[in-house]
Amino acid sequence: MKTLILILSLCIAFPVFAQKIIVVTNVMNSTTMITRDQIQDYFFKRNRLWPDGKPVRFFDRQDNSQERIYFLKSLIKKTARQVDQFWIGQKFNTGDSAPIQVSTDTMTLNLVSRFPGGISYVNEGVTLPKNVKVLEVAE
Amino acid sequence: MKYLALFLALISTSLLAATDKDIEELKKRISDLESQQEQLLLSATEPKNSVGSFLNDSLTLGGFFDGGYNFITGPDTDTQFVNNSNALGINVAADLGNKYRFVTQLVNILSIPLLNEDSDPNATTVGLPKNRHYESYNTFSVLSQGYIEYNFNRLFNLQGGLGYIPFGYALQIREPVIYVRRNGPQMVRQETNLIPNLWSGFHLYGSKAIGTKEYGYNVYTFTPAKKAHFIGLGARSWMSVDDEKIIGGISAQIAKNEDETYKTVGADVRIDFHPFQIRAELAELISKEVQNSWSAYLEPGFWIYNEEVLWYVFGDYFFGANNETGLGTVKLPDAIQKWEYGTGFNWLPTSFTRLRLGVTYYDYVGNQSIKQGQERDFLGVDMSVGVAF
Repeated sequence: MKTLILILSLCIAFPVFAQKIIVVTNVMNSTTMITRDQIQDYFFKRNRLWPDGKPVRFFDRQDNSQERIYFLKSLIKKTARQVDQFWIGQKFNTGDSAPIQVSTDTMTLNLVSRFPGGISYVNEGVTLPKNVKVLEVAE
Repeated sequence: MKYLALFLALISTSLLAATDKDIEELKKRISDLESQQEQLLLSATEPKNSVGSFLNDSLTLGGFFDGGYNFITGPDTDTQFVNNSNALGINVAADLGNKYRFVTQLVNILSIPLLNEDSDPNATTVGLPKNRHYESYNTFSVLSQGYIEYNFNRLFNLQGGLGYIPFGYALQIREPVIYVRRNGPQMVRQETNLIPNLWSGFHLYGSKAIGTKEYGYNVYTFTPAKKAHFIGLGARSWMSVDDEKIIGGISAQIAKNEDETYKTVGADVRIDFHPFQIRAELAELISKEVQNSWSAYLEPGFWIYNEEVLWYVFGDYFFGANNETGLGTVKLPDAIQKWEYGTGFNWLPTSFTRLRLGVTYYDYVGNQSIKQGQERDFLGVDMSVGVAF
């Protein structure tokens, strides 16, 4: 019975652990630590350059993916609808459009590895290619 | 029995080998597909340093459609129900490298304007009907944005051309598809009496985050919409707190028309504590020649079903000391004081679609509320659909 309870508990707990994400960038980017405000600025294209002058290339994840839901909730502090509404306004008023959306961790990492200013988020525990590094997120 | 066991073992081994081979094949195919998709994404995301062909990768195309029906009735207003407006906006933007951008927007409108909107009985002298009336379709196109932008950094961005005026909140989101109320608040409809809709010339803007707050500014030039005589200067400063849950700003303009040098001031606040939201704004034109004109509105809303159905109420006041009735250059002075209040729903089945149903009571107050025995109040019901793409 105890084993059953343990298994059930693990099953319930697993999705929570599965949602954990890490923020990644290209190794050529000299930045090693990033704040939540900076992530928001790069995501919403309010800031288009890294401190070392490299152009920011943000790769978002697909709508309704667990990674994106967790990312928007924990780091952007907005709902998917609010983000959509923001980009609709931006498209009209500034010509800016939302960051491109990528479906898998592998593709995300491949794209980040191609751009010196690439930034995105992937599941914690995924194997990183040698030219992608983790950005430490500071509050 | 031994032979049977051996036979089964051979079969299962070959099946396992075949399964491994299939998995390898599938892995290869996934990898190939991912690689192809990557190439497509790369070609879509990487801007070029020249304008090049019009089909350049750096070109962004977007826009909106908004079409609606309006029902009106009142004591001295004929009951009418028409498809009064269809607007198609086309946005084209081009990234010319990492720092330059060109943005333009053209709005094409097929509409039936409400003639003699304020039901001024004297309007017959300028060729308009005695009371407010829909008559026939008009078509026109408006260039609403066209600027080139240079991004120095987040704090300094310079635009040259023309675009939506950064006065308050509603005037900056001028697209009808974004408004909760179909035509937006009164202050955005008083282009000639209060605030022109567009900046023209240059526009400098930027923002900076300090701690949990963000501070921003806009400085711009514009041309007065009425009796333009000299280019005006406008500015706005704003602050947002708590991840943009509260945003407040103050705006000011100074300009010269044929009569005088006048000033316009305003304040705005937006509060978003899901599922509640509030929008409120005030704008006042300060004049030495005529009484000050001003407008203010309060528009609280509540998301009653997820983020799909918004219920809102509003109260919106306009005092137009310099309001006029008429078309073109032949106009009659007609100072008005008007309340608009009502309620409605927005249904957003997707983020990019907005269906609206709104009821508004147009309540004329003050000594001009009944003019020469003609009651000016009326009731309006709006139904519309807006799509962004």
